Amino acid sequence: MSRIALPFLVLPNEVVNFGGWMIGTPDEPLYPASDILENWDYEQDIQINVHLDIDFAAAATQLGIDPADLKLAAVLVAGTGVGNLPRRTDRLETEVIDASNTAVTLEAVIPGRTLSGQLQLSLRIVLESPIGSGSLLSPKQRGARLWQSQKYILIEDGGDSRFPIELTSFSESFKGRLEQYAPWLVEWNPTTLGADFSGNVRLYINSDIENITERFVKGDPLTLQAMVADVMTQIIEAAIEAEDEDELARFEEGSIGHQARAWMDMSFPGQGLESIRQTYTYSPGKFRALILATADFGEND
Amino acid sequence: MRVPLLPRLKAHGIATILEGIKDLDTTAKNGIDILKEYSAIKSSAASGGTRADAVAVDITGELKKIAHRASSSSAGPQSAKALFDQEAAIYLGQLEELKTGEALRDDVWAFMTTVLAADIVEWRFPDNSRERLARFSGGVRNTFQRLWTRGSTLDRGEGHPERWELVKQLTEDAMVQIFERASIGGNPPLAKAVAEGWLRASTKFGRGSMETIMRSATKILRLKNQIIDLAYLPPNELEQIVSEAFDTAGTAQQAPITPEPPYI
Repeated sequence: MSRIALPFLVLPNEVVNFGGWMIGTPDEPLYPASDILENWDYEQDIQINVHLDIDFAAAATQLGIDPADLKLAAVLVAGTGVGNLPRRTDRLETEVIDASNTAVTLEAVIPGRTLSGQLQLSLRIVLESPIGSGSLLSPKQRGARLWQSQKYILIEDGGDSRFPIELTSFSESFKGRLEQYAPWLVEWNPTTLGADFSGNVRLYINSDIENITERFVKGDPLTLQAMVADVMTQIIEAAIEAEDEDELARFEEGSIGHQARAWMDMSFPGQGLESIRQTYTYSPGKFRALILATADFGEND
Repeated sequence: MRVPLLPRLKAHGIATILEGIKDLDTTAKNGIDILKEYSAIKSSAASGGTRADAVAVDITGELKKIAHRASSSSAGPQSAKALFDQEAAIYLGQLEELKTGEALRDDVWAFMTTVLAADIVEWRFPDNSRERLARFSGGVRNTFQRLWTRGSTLDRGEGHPERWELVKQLTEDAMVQIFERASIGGNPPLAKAVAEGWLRASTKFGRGSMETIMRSATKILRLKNQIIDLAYLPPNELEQIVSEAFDTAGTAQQAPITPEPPYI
């Protein structure tokens, strides 16, 4: 447990059979939690499940308290926010453990919208009662910390590396303009190639068009391929306007320009800037087809 | 409501802007113009909600109005700043748009503070000390983030006759003692219980002696929390433990200092 020497008897790991942290999407099979939860964003709620089985007679002996009087509480706490100590902690679930109920399961769904950066889970066993009983060294106060297990999970790595994409109503966003009839639109500014990619490029999908919304939500590979290829084409076309290779090389990781270079390497492997420009100018069909082919990402058979 | 994805500013962006802060006249430009100007260093979550740059503009716009009201009140400069802190905490603490993980992010607050409302920071914290960067960067000392934390945590709830009494009555020192200690400030039931304890103790011992008492009481409570899960306790038991900590600290503060016995 913690490095603090508690001034009373506590529970050793031998009397607490803890099944480990189970995590996942609500209503789907859960899996053992690892240090990173990938592909998370605010719209994904997280379900937590833990199971404890206490050797109650041994626990009572360890604490120097009569097992008939002893009541423990298992407390599931979640903290979130970056840093060693969470910015905010909340108690999710509590279960009482006594001689007639020595095995408990605690389960909770944490709304994704409330999470930030990391999830710091803590499972504690504390004293519920009796208060002021037992031997000289027995825990005597309600809430006395007797055992604890913690798990820190990084939850936003996936979010940062996700493609910036959003479903929105074009009839509202582009009211009175012809763009409102387009199935998708890439919003970005080609004069700011040094800007952060995720904050300055966004692919909007028109939620007014039922067919395209359905394909997007279902993850139809060909639809996604066409959309991503459009983003890639636009950005690569802006990037090849660069003065020379050096200018392209100067873009920092995470910037639009850096992403453009990565896509150019994927779509035109082994070709320099000048060669890519030649393809663009003299074989525009091939130029776009090569990018389209790269945008497959292995999803299509 | 989908999560409004607010604009974010990373550390290098803060440094870049602060270097040229003298040129940044945020009072003369509207929020949208500023957003365009600083788009290159702005980022936001890739997915999970709706991009909402305008929400950040609206929030800082309202904060500017609160600052203007406070600075043009008849109160002296220090009282005007305290008034701003109170009113801004109450405003921020109630915003639905900030009841998400976005408000726990330092880079979200850094953007609002550094890009959209640097003028308020310059007015609220005019000193050029080492603290200056912390007032712009996100974190417990960020000019607005600290107020949002106070407002959202110390709200006694809609319908309470003295809903914002804690925000209005606690001194800056008391707020710092609560919210710059993550073990207390990051634990809403405990933070609120300590704030209520401060209020009761200030009536009992007088506001003038509360700085020392608060320091001792928070030390006692942090120590107790290491061995007892204070947030597990029912509210009445937590209240009692907090009151005892303040009583211990207050009594020690008031006890006359006994001279050491002469060495014989």
